[in-house]
Amino acid sequence: VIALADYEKGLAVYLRRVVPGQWRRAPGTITTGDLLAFERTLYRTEWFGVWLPASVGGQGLGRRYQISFERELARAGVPDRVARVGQNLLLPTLLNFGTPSQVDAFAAPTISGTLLWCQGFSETEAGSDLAALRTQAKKVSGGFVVRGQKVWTSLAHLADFCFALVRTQPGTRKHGGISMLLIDMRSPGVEHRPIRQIDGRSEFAEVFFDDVFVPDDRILGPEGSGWSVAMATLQYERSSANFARQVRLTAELGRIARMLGRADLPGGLGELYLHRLGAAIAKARILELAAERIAWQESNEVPVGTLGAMTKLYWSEAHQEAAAFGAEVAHNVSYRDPATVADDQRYWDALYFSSRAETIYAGTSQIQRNIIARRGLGLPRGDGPAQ
Amino acid sequence: VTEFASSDEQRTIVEVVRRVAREAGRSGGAVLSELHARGLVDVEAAEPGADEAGIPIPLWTSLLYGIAFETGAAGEHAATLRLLRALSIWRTPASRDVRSRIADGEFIDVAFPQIGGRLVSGQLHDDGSLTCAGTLACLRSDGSASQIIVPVRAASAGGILMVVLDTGDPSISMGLHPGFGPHAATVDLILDGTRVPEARVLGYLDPDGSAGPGMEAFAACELAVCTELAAMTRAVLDRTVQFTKTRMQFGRPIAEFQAVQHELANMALLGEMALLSVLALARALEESDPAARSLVSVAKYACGEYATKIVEAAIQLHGGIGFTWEAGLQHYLVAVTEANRTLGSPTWHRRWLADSAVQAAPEAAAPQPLVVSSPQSRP
Repeated sequence: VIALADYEKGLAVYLRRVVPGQWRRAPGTITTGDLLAFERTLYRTEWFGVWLPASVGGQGLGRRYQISFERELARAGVPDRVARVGQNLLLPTLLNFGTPSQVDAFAAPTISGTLLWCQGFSETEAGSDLAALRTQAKKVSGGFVVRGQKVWTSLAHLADFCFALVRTQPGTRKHGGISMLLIDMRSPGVEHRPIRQIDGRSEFAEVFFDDVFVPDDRILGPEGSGWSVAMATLQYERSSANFARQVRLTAELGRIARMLGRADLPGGLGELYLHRLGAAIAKARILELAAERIAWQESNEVPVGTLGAMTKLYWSEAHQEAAAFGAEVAHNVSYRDPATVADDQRYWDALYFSSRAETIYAGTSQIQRNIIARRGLGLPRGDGPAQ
Repeated sequence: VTEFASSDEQRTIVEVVRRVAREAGRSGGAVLSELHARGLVDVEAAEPGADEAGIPIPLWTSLLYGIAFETGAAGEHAATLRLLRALSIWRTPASRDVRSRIADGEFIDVAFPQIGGRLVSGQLHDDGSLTCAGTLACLRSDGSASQIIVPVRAASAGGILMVVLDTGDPSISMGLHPGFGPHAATVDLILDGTRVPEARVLGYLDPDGSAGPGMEAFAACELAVCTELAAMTRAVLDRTVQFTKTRMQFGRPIAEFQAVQHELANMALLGEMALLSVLALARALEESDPAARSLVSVAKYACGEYATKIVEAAIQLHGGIGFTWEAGLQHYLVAVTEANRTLGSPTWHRRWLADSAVQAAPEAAAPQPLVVSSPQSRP
């Protein structure tokens, strides 16, 4: 078993060798194809998945290794991975709720990045109030026929499969009668249309299911228990899956420190920026501590409780602040080399615009505050719905 | 409170300390002597040459946490408790003497510096003695201590020297000011050519260093302050949650209003983040982790900044009785304010973090040479 420090060192050396220098300098130039090719090579190496259980080819070394993995990738300039939805959200849910044959069919290709996933939760009338979802799955011989629409589905255009929440029991409302289905995105009747985002990109899509047949063995967890399966997935999304983003913040602040270190700043602006940078660094470090704490609690089977919601809330707000700050610095510095300035400006503008999603997805900040207030502090239900 | 302590033993200590603190009123000194009498705390100097590990960090932080949770840490002796760990890091005769006096129940006050603030200046002589002059603001106690530990900036020595003075020394005078909030008074010390022999020099506080006993002593004192801040945020949150569940307006408890719930959720969030930073700092100091220095600044920034926000929000949610002395929040507001003025302020600490990040940035000193293969590159 490799010691954590050796693992970190070895992975850093490997990444220095394989990550193109251009990725660090101009992350905006990375294409999805290049990233995916890089990922699929990475997933075949000894560095990936040591935290996974031995049953799926891991070494069961625990979440600390996963945090280190994400941290080293962020330091090396690797952007958010395309396979992250499947590996960070679907995989733990599959290992928890899947039948042996589902695990056999889906775990290995998800881990190797050959099978890509999207998450079919939100609908136009079911955002924060997720239990209001209306997509129907009618029972037919040998499976289900799915009819309905999902929206704000990340990476739908690349995904091979979608893990979707649907109503398998007609006439039910709210949390009852929901199931999670694993839907092949190439089935007849599946259509996705890209949605233009505020940052100009179209990573989001609307997904339409027009009488899509899904076989019986593609239901994850017992029929009708989809709500608790989904809550487990959201718990992963608010804890482990967030590690990558939390540790990425520290690397991003390193970019701001570099900009400030080599910049000619007018007047007292540099001093003001240093104060903002210092506050952001403290928050980034605390987020790493929170990730380590959650990892420790998960490994010791201590319930994560509301720490997941707290961490998601704190991270999304801290990251938005950092992105706005980085963009301001990038547009106020002047260095000797104009190409570097342009690279930095593109990078930070993209980050600022895309970061606006972070307080909305995976439970809005308002929903996280409801969770902290009701589950954490035991406050009574009053004038707003619970999540 | 149990979230703070990572072992059953620590939880027990916190509970005992809280009970003793409640019985002893707001006096940290009374708590200390009570605990000492019960054999729970041993601050006595070890024999010279013996192991001087000092008070164990889990025990000490549990003690500080319990007192601050219960009393707001504003009482006299609070400063002495904050110095306990630093005293065992400084292996000087003066430190041994001070520890045995504390163990005997003597009241020795400490004036911690506000970094960057006004300090007594000292001139170092060849025989190791100092001549000190200047004014030092704000002892929290009433000036009745027999001895006072004072920070001195000596031009020829790095860091801040901590020295022990007799309050009876004719070259020392005190100026009493009316206090604010629950403090009856604050005390200014005026030193006029006070001679301090080498044997009264305790050791250094070094806020700028990254290692060494001066940094460790500084970090230990900051850990104490941050532990108190974390305890107070928790105490104030607990009180406010309880209050909002019972305070009726518009025919229902105000805790049912989402505006109130979200404010409480923010308080809980910030308190939890501050707590994580303190626990990490305590662990780093126990394990002599080189990351300890940067964690000091992370923790002081978070604890100081967030404790202030939390107490202010608590006052807001308590309404009128939060502003008056009825709810008892005045103790916490004063104590948090005082803790933020002890050693580096949250602002000083975030500036320190930024400086060390800019210095550590690999390309900070000179722009990185451009890569030839890039089409945009120029020599």
